[in-house]
Amino acid sequence: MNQLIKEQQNVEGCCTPTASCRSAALFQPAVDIVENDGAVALFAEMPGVSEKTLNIQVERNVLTIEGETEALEFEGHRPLRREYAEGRFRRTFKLSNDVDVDKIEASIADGVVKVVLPKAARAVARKIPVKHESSH
Amino acid sequence: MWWTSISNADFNGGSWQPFREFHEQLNKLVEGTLCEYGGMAPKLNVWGTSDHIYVTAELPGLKSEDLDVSVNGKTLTIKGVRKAEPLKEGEQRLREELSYGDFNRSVELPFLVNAESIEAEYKNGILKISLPRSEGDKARKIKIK
Repeated sequence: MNQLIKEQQNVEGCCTPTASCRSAALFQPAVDIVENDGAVALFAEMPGVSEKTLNIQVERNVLTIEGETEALEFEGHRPLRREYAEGRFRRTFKLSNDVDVDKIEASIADGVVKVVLPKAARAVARKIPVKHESSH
Repeated sequence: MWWTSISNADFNGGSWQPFREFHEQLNKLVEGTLCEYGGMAPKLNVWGTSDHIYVTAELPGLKSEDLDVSVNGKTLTIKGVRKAEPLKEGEQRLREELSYGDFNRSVELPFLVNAESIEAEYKNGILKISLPRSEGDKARKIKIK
């Protein structure tokens, strides 16, 4: 079986998810990907993003996860230290034909996006029951 | 670390070591930095006025009961643990970029705060802490008679 989900080649030249990357206004979220028999689950870290500013779409087998962080501002306070930037998270993945794109589900909790990509029926390994045939 | 190799190769042999102290300080500085930012230490943004500080920390995927915020003197400490969801039978991790485990970060505040008035809120994976300066620590204007 071919790979269900692959990193999409980056056309915008966005950096990989390392600390230095976060100085840019557009950054890639770090992801964990877990596979089981029936689906692939993707977890993307996007602190500061809520369901209101999160956008997930699939177009021509390309999954895009995108979200804007809520810009925090404090009346009358001036910035004293800035170790992380606010801006836009974005990462794209190429899905194989073995993903059932109509059944993709997504949710967000505490700044972590979860996308569940169910495998198409043909991609799920099926155990074939073996019948016992008597020889006479 | 280039300075370590220089100091070992070129200066440690002789008794005259004019750069040793400098190298030791430099090493200390780097170690201190690694200690503060390394591993799981969350990244912080800080805003302030002369009497109030806001600290925000990037801490995605936590439960508020796994977060601990405390102030001791002028030191604010944020610590906790991010637990990884254990893999179920038949599951395998194809990619692992998120970090899990204990984290601990301390920062020095510019003034003493009123411990009772500290407020912390955890939302969308961002921890926001409001730290008002303690009344006793505030600069007081002295009336001139």
